[in-house]
Amino acid sequence: MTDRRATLLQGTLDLLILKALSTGELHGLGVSRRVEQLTGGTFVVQPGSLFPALHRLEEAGWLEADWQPSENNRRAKYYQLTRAGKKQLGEETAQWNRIALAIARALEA
Amino acid sequence: MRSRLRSLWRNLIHRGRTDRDLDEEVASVFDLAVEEKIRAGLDPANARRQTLLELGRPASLATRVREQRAGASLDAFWRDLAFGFRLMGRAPLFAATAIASLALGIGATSTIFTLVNALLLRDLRVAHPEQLIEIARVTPYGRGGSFSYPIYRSIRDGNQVFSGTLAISRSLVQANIDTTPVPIGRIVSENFFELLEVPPHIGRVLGAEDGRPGTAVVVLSHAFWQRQFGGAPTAVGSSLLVEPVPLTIVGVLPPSFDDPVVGRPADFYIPMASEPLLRRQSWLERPDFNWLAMIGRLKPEVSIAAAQANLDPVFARTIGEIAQTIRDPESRQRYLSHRLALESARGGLSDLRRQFSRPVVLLMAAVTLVLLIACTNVVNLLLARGVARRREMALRLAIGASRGRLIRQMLTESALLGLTGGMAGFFLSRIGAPMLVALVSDGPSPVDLNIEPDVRILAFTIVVAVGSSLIVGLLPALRTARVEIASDMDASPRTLSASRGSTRWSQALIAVQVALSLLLLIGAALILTSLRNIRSFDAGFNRDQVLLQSISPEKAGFTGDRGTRYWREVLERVRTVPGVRAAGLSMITPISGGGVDLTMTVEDRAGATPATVYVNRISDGFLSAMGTPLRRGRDFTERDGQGPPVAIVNEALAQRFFRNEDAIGRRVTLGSQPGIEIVGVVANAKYLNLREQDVPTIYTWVLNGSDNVGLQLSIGTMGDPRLLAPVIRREVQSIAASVRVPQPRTLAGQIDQSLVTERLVGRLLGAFAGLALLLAAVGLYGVLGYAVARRTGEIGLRLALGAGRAAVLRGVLRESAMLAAIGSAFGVPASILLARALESLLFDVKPSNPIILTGCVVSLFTVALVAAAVPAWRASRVDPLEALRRA
Repeated sequence: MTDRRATLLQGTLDLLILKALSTGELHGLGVSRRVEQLTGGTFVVQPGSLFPALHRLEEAGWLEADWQPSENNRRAKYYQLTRAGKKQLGEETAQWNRIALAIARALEA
Repeated sequence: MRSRLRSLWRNLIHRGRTDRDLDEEVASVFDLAVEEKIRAGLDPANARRQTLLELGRPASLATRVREQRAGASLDAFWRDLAFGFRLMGRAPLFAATAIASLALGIGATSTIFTLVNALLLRDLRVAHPEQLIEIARVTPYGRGGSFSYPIYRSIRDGNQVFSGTLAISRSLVQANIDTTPVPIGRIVSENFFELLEVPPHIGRVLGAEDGRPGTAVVVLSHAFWQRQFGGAPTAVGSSLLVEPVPLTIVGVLPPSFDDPVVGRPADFYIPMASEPLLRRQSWLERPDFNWLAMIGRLKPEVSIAAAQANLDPVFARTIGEIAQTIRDPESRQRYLSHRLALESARGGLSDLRRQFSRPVVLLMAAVTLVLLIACTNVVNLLLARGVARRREMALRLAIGASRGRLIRQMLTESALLGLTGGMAGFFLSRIGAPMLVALVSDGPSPVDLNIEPDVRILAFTIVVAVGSSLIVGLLPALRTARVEIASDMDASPRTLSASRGSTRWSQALIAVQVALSLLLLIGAALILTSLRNIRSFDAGFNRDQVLLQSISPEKAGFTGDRGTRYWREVLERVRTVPGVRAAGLSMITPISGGGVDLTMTVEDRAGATPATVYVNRISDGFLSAMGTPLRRGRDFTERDGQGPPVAIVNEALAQRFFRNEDAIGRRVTLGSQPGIEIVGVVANAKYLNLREQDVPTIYTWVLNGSDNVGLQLSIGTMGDPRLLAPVIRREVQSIAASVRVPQPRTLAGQIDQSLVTERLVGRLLGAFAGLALLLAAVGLYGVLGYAVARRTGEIGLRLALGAGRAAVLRGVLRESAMLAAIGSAFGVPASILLARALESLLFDVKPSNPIILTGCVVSLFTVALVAAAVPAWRASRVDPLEALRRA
């Protein structure tokens, strides 16, 4: 069932995490589900990659985390974008679009 | 960036809090996932299993985050280090053995490197040492570094490639100060300090103004100034008595000044223009007296080859002019064949370097073997401990550590051992290096080498320590990290199957150790046998019963006939001392490093060709003092000083020139003196060095009233010559108080000085071989002891089934002998191959000498069996019941 799904392009994981959080705060598992939903199930983020990435982004100052009660009153760690994170999302999106355009052009030529 | 730093701070300082936070987060994520699945309709047990599959174990998830965090590697390093220290504390014997092995290996390596550095690598501490070029000459006899002053003058003035050329005397002058060692000085060209850009410490250095004839000045080295004048500035302006001439002290050199004569720094320096004051006859205008070394400073952008091309014609012209004064055609031809050889003098003049560079490189190789043996020991210790730690490793893997992480931890631990051993080794080398220099320099001319630790020595030691850590750590780390969680979690350290691989490795390493030790052992045995041979073979004189006394009565005014009378008095007095067999005078004493050769022609023979022979001028009593037996004819007598010229020849000369004829009664021309009658033939005796072939030698009469300069008194004794030394000295001194009489030396001591290389290599190789054997024995003991402990169960079973205790004992001993045999099988052929490197030091012994090889192998087996004795005994003492219950 996983073979059809594309493997994540190097460097796109950070972008997808930032995008997933752009609409509001989520806990770790929530980020994973949201990425899956956003990409229509094309990308599944393995927890082994997701959590290190979350912590890395937090250390870079793009995410903030705090503990909150979850939907059914369990404690969970919720992540949200910082101002630097939003800026980073903008930059990475622009960068991605440039690359996508360039590659699309290259493939049409 | 700032947030990254903040994270680093948080991760490293508030590690506890962030760690708890992470664990909680992972746990909560896990719970959330399980709940999600339950809500989707799975039963709780199934939901948990699904989540486990999806997320992995919470602990390993947390670990993966940790490895990503800022400062993770540093953090892990500190943790490993702390853990390493704790482990060392828990197994102090293991740690001490490992560190001591490494400290010995690294210390020995670093010590030898100090010598390599001082002799071969270190630059002189003068401006631009790389521009300095030593000018030497190649003669038919080999390389020589000495030139006469006229040659120096024409090279200095005739070249276009040097910005300056300096000269420094190889022969030394002595100050009239009664200390041991007597302060020594060198005569240098007045541009010496200017060219080396040495500023004065106080006063001034020598300069152009010191080139005027009649100048009587001297510059002191810093060390001598401190020693003799207590560092008093008033020393400048006072005078120093050198070979009874007062010279005015004009300045002191800085402490950092390096004499270009490496190993033999002078205490004071005298300008060339003062030389005529010190010698009765100046050497400055003698084209045939070679006593100066030359160093040129290359102009920028000039290559050595270009310099050579420029100097060659200048030199050829100069020696061409000098050669016209040589009458004997053979000598002239030989003189004209001299060529210049240029080489870098950035490390100073190369005499000592040339003497010791090969042995020192050899010792470097030997000490590397010792280091390897030491490392092998530590590898074995770590392997054995790695087996004991399989459970720990399996556990760490099970709770989420990666294999890379385990390898890193093991390497950190071995680095800890290596660096601690390296530090200890560095301190050991600080003790060892002065001892080594003392070993090189025993004898009347001390060697003074700069062995202060510099960046190079420090860097070398660090590199060796890190290298050893890697060598030591890699194999055990890789093996330990290969644990399997399932089979090793419950592995008891005694289980047979779990450690078979490690055992095989240990055994292979022991065999390697044995082979390397054998290599050193055989090398040492060859050198020491050679040393014994060369010290005891019949060299043509009785080396153990001769005293040598050098005095210079001519300096106290005993010249001409007064000198002859003085010497006769000396001989008479000394011969009456009880215990003295004979006494005589000579120009040259055997194996002193000095010699004279002249061309000799047999008279009254058609077509006689001149040939070169060694010459010694001697008095009556010299040959009997030396114990050189007379074969035919007669010895000199006192009356030979007055009558027609007579000579005694050795058998080699008689054989070469007269073959079947009788040499006695024939006349020869020696150099420019015709009509010398041969009156006796004596046995061959070594002249310049002990390894030479027997060379034709002629002895002529010495005490002729006009040329009594530089004579040596040789005294043959009946017993130990050292016992007579004080008596002889007193007796000689009582003849004339004005003649300075130093303590006599023994001929054996003088000969030993010529064997300094052999003794250095012999002693060190012997020490290294001993160390290697000890290390190998410790290694064997460790591996066998461990094997026995591990196999207690098996041994118990065998005993229980009826095996005899003697059989068990033999089994362990056999294993040890087996390893020794495998090691020897490689070590012996390797030693025969490698002994070629020793060839120049060997004397009358072949690398394949069966007695030495057998002896070494036997001693190795003895050591192997002794090392195995305790483990073997312990194995035979195993209590079957106890062993089976525990297994």
